[in-house]
Amino acid sequence: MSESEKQTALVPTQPNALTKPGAKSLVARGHIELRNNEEAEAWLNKGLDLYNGGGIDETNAEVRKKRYEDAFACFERGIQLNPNHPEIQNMFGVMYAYGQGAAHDRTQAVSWYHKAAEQGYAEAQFNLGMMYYKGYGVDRDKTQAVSWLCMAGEKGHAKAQFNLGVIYANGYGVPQDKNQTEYWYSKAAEQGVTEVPISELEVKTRRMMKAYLEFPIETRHLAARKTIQDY
Amino acid sequence: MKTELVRRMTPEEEELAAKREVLARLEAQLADQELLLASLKAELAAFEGLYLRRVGVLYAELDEWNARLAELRAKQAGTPEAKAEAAEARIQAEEAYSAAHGEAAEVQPFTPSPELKKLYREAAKRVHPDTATDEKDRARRERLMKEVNAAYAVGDEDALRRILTGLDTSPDAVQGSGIGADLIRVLRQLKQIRDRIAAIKLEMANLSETDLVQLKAKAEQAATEGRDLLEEMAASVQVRVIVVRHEFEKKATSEATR
Repeated sequence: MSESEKQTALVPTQPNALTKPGAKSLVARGHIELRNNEEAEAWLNKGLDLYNGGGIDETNAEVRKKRYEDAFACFERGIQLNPNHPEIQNMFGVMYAYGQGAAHDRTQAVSWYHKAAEQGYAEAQFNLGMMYYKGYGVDRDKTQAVSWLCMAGEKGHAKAQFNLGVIYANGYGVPQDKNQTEYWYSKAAEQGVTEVPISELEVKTRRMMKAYLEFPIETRHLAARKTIQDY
Repeated sequence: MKTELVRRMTPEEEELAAKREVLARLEAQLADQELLLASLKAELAAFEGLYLRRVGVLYAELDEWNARLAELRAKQAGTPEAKAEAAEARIQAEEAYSAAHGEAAEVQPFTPSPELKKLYREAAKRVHPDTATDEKDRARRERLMKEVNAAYAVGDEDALRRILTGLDTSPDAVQGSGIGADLIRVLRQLKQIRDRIAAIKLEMANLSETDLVQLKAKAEQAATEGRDLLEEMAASVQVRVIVVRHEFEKKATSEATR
C-alpha cells in the first residue's frame, strides 16, 4: 500500500500480529453479501410490482389488501437477506405509515425511515423530514424536518426541494428567507415540480383544505396554488 | 552409392522410442498446464489484493467501529454478556485488520510478458518434479519448481533465466542400465505426468468454485456493463461504517457528559 493509504487506514486500539490468513474470509464475506443483496433486490422488485400493481384506482379493497400483504411479505424476505437495504427499509416505513399490509404504526414508520435516511437514501430523508414536519410518530420538530429535507434536496429530491421552497417562503420553523426560497423553488422547477396539478388537488381536497388553513392569512392566495406536496 | 547398414530395432527399442515420443508431447502439455495454473493463481492473487485494498479495509474499519461500540456498551452495562460480546467484536476487528493489511493486500496487478511466459514454460519443462526418475532427483526438482513458480508470480524474468542456465551445467537424467530399465523409467515418468495433469485440471476446477473466482467473474461482467463492482461494494460498506461510527460517537459524547 502507498504511504498515504497506510496513514488513513483505521488502526485498531490494540493491534495484534495475527498470522491467520483471513484474506479468504474477507473475500467470502463480500461475496456472500453481494449474493444476498442481489436476492434482496429481487424481492424488493417483486414487492414493488405488487405494491404498485393496481394503483390507487384499484377499486376492490380486498384485492388491494391482499396485494399489500403479499408485497409486505416480499419486503420481509428482502430485509432478511440484506438488513441494511435502504429502499426496503423505506418501503417498510411507507407501509407502516399508511397501514398497508401491516397495522398503522407511525412510530415504526419513523424508525424505518430513519434507518434508510441515515444511510443517505434521499426518498427516506424526505419521508422522515415530512414526519418531523407533521409530528407523525415523532414529536413535531420543524428544525429536524428542514434538516432532513435539505439532505434530500441536496441529493436532487424534487418534492423535498419544492417543500423547502414553501417552508422558506412562509417561514415555517425557519426564518423567512427569499434567497433560500428562490434557490429551492428553482431546483424543483428544473425537475418540473412547480405546483400541485389540479386533478391531484381534487383528490387531495381534504388534505389540501387543511394545509390551506395552516398557512398565514396573507399567503393563502399563494397556498391555493402552492401547497406542501404530500408523499 | 554408399549404402548404410541400418540395424532393425528390437520390439523393446521400438516401444521405448514410441514412449519417449509420447513423453516429449506430455512434457510440453504439462508445461502448458502448469503455465495456465500459475497464471490463474497469479491473476487471482492480484484481484484479491485489489479487493482487500478497496473493500477489505472498509470491512476492517466497520469491525473496528463495531468493536469500539461493543466495548463502550460493555463499559456502561458491565454485564458478562456485554463483556463477552465486546471481546468477540475486538477479536473480529483484529482479524479483519490483519487480513486487510497483510501480505495478500500488497499484491499488485499481474501482467506477464510473452517472454516471461516463454521462460516459465521452458523452465517448467526442464525442472518438473514429475519428470524425475528417482526420489533424490524428485526432491531437487521440487525445490527448483517452487523457485520457478515464485519467480513467475512476481514476474521475475531474470530469476527464471538464472535457473535455466544453472540447469545446463548440472547432470541431466540418470543413465539407465539397459532398455528394460529405461522403459520402466519412462513409463513411470508418463504416469507421474498424467497424474499431475489430472491434478492440475482438478485444482483449476476447484478454484473456479471459490468465492474469489466467482467475485472476479462478477467484477469482469460488471466492467463490460460499464460498472465498477468493487467500487459499488466499497460504497455500501462505507455507508455502514459511517452509520456505526456515528452511533459510537453519539454514545461516546453522551458517556463523556454523564
